[in-house]
Amino acid sequence: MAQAARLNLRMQRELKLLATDPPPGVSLPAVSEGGSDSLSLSAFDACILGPEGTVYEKGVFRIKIQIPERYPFQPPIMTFATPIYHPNIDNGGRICLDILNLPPKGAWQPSLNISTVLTSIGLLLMEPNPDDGLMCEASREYKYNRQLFDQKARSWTEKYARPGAVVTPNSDTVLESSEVKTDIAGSSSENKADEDAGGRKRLCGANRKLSVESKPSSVVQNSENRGNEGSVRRLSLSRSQNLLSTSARSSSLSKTIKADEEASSKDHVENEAPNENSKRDSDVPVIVIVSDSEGSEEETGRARFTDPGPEVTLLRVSRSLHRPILHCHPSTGLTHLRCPSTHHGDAFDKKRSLNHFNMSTSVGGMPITYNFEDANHGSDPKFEWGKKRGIGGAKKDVQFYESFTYDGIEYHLYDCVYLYKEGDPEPYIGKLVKIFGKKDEKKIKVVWFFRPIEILNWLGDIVPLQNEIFLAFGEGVGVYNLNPLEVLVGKCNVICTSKDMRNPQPSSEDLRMADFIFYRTFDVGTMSISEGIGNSIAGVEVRYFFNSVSDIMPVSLNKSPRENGKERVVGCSRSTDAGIQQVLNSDKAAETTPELKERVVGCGKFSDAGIQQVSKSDKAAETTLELKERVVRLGKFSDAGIQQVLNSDKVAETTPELKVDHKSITNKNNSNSRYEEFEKHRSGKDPGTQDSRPLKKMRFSETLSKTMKSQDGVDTNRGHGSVSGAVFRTSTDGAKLRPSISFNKEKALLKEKRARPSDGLVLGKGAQVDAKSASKPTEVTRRPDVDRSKWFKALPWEDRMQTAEHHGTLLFLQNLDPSYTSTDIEDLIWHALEASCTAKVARRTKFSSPHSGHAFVIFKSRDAAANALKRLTEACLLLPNGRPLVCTRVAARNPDMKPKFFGHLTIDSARRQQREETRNAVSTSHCAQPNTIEYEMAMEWKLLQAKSEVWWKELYREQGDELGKWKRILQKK
Amino acid sequence: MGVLLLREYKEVSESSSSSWRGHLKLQSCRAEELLQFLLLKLLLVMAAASNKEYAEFEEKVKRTVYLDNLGPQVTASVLKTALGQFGNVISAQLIPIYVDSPDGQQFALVEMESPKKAMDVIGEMAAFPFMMSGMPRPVRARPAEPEMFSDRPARPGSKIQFRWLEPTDPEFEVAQKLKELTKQHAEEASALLRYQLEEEEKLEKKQDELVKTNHKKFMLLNSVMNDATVSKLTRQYKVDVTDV
Repeated sequence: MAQAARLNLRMQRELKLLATDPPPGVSLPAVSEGGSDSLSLSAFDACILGPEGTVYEKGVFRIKIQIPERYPFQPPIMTFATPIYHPNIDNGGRICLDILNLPPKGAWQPSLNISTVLTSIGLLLMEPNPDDGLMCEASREYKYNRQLFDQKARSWTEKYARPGAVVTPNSDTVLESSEVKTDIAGSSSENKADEDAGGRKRLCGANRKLSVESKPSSVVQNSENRGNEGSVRRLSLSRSQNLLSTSARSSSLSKTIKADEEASSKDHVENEAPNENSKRDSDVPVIVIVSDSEGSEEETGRARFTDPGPEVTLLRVSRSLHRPILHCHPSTGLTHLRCPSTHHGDAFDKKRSLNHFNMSTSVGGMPITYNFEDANHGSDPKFEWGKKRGIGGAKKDVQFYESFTYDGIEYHLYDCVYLYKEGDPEPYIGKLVKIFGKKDEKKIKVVWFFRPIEILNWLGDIVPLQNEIFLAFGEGVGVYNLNPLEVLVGKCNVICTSKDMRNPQPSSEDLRMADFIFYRTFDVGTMSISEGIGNSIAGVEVRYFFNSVSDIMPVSLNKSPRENGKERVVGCSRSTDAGIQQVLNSDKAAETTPELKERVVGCGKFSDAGIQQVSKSDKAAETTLELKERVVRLGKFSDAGIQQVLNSDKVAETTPELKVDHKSITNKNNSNSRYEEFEKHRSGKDPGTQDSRPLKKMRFSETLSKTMKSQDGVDTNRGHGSVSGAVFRTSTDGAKLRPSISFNKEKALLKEKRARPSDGLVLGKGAQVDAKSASKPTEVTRRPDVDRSKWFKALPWEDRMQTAEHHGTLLFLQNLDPSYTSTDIEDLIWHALEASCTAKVARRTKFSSPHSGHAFVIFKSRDAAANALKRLTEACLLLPNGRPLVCTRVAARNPDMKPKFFGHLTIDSARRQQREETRNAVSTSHCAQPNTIEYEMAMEWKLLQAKSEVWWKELYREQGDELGKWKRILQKK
Repeated sequence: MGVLLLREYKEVSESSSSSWRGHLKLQSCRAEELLQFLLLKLLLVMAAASNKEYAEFEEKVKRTVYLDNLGPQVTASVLKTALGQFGNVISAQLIPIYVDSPDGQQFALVEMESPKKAMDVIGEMAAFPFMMSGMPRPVRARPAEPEMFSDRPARPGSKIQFRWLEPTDPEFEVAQKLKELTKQHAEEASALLRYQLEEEEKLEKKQDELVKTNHKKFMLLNSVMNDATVSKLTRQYKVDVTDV
């Protein structure tokens, strides 16, 4: 996704910046679109004011700015639209400026932006450079006949650059004229990505609408899914003209649209025409417009891009000769027409092979025909929400979900997905980290993976592995985006091969099944690749990026089932009656894919009956078909036996393939303890949501044949194990427990099967460490992964602390040896608690105790922190010289508390001189001279300081004595 | 041990240099020893490096002045300028306090070009009240301590050991007591800090009044000087004010 997305993002940000904080003398008129020849370019104009005191004074110069596709790796193309007499600007408006060219010729750097270039142009106007002139005559005149040059330049300015000649951003005339000028062929407004709470921007790929819809006619439409259609946004095609006029009337776009429409009779794509299914016609020319619609994404988009004026932003027009793609450029709203049929071999092209329609329009009198494929006889892809999570948003109007079904594919939170990418045979890859709906909008938040090709410039010496992709990381644009849900084209299987402790290692089978692997991240802030993965990415805990239970289960590709002629049936139904549910699902399954037996995908929600046979008829399930028949059970308990699951919010959070043997749930003599263990386990996995979860809704999740591979899990188990004293046994139990959750639980228990020997090793080691630590001192050496933190630039500690505090991963250690460094503490924690962390010693001041060193420690997860806290509270970590480590949570900061500083006096007198003096005193420093009041007062302060020094000394001496007494007792023993 | 190895290594290297073909056998016999020696040497080198690093750090500590009683307006650049009066400032940084504290004072470390300069600064500030970004509360300067630095290297040779004490351990209670003591001491320290702040506040109030009174007097004098009162009176009493 990366490049185009980031280009868009960057442009969006830049434009916003330009609009809000333009460089001096620069204004940003209408962001006019479509003036470019190439579709993916966005183009707009800027106006630059002739600098005062120069010959261009009072002139307003329009500069055309075109953003190349590879921006910011290529410089923007800027030309003067207003004729200007300048040695470095030629008659065509070309500017001779080094930063407008790529090195070695030029000096463009991606770190530069439009704003800086415009500033440079402003400077160039002030200071022409006749030695490097484009215009010989002007250069010569500037050098040798300045008077003549000035005169000419003035007259040109007067003639062409009068302010009146400049169009204002919001005027409708601009819009129209720009359209006319650019020979708009098809016009379409598209959805804008709206903003999330964080105010960040994301890519909108509403473009997908036209591409995804087509389906093999053999697809059995689930009528259940149709029930939701009213609320599903659709982009349907219709060629009824009245529709157009209705929509046109409804918006102020009518004029322009009509003008176009009258010029050639065309079809229209009407967005949000709920009852109007498209009637395709392969011959009738089509113009694509998008009408104004309430509550739709357009609204949001409009709202966002209102800077230059709603209408300007709403109607985005572009002309395409090469790549007709209906595509909405998120930054500029530039809409492209897309011709998907040009992308044969597309992973997702297969879907739209059936129905085509042609869309044609005329560009400059020449008819151009675009092929569009129709969407499944005009209807939308099936869509249905899955499980709900919570409600959020400022007005509580945002509903979060865990899963949904779109176009026959069931998506869950934290799935890796392909996203439709305009004009590219390869779709983007991302990870769903949030799914939500607001009114009729459906949005997904996606954290990106970069294909090596997308970050070619920063790869350096790194040779990417086959199928390797890079996880976006760091702070900055490009880590994630909010997208309309419709951009999804399918799921993909991404396996993390990171050796990170937190990452459950994939098996070779997993790797074979993987579409992509990743173990390195690409930091969008520093543009660097690293192997270290921090704690969270785009606010999502990192464990969701590692292999999860679901990833270990091979996640299917959406295309595969279809290719295999097997349809996935999704039953996302809510039923209080498990029996009915089961029947329902199996019915569907049998109907479509008899060979898949009673496999049904179900996001079933049910109560205490807890018997739901759910299975997934995808590739994943298929691969393991021969192994065992897999029955997926999503079990849920509520001890009241009431249907509580409707508002349950846990399914998608984990994965689609959480499986629990219902037998194991119902009656196991030791099941209770297991549940607890699970719950703990789950809490380890899911600290963020744990709190909000009612405890009685216990829920178990595990894969069938794989062990739980989460390192967190290991830690948790170990943590509990050691706390309970029976260290080794419990740990082993934990090891047993994990496979035991699989389908053949009892067998697994007996066999003590360990699918992942490494896990076992780790566990064993942990247990040993715990066991032997009974009283022998352990020496701390460097922890093995010590270099990791150096891979990426750390955030400022304050920020990290704040985040950590928020996530509950921050702890405060006291009674450390004051000589310990931060690294020492990290090593210590690593060895003593088997947890990696980042530590920072609190620096000593003259008021800090000399007896006790303090440090802040940030753990990787809330669970790790909680375990550490528990362990350190319940047991004693004794450091040499009798220091038991004291661990507490850091008291939450009180924002209201304003520290006071006494002793700086100001006199609020009206006397100017005194004020002056005071100000100087504030900004400077001096020694107080004797015989002044100041000196006397300063002496009083010195006295107080001396006193306080004595107090502190005395206090710490007493404390030291006291400590020493107890330490001696300790050592005697 | 090291010396022994060194001698052996010498032998090896000497023999090998004279005719290393002939001693190939010998060498292979001693290869292991050689490896050991190299390892040892590596360790020594590493130790030397860390020693050196720490020595450098200690030098830096000696060059550095610790300042407190700094007002909230003080920034690193203010520090640099202020201490620039005494000598070249290499670096100046504020010590961040990550926790809430009712005390608004700031702490800083300023690295001077030499330990002597640092001592000068400390002496100067002890002798004369030195104001920075506000008055009349003077800044206090002290020699810096290694623990005040966040990026300090580990002290060479320092080893960290730990052991776990389970609740069953006989020492556990004592350790628990020590834990509590630590917490209690922290409480005591913060109580003392609060007390100190109270004292500071008192002093400030007192001084504020003093300043205001003085200022009033000053204003009064000024006003009589400025309006014609004084000249009138002098004329009336035939006194020359300039003498007064």
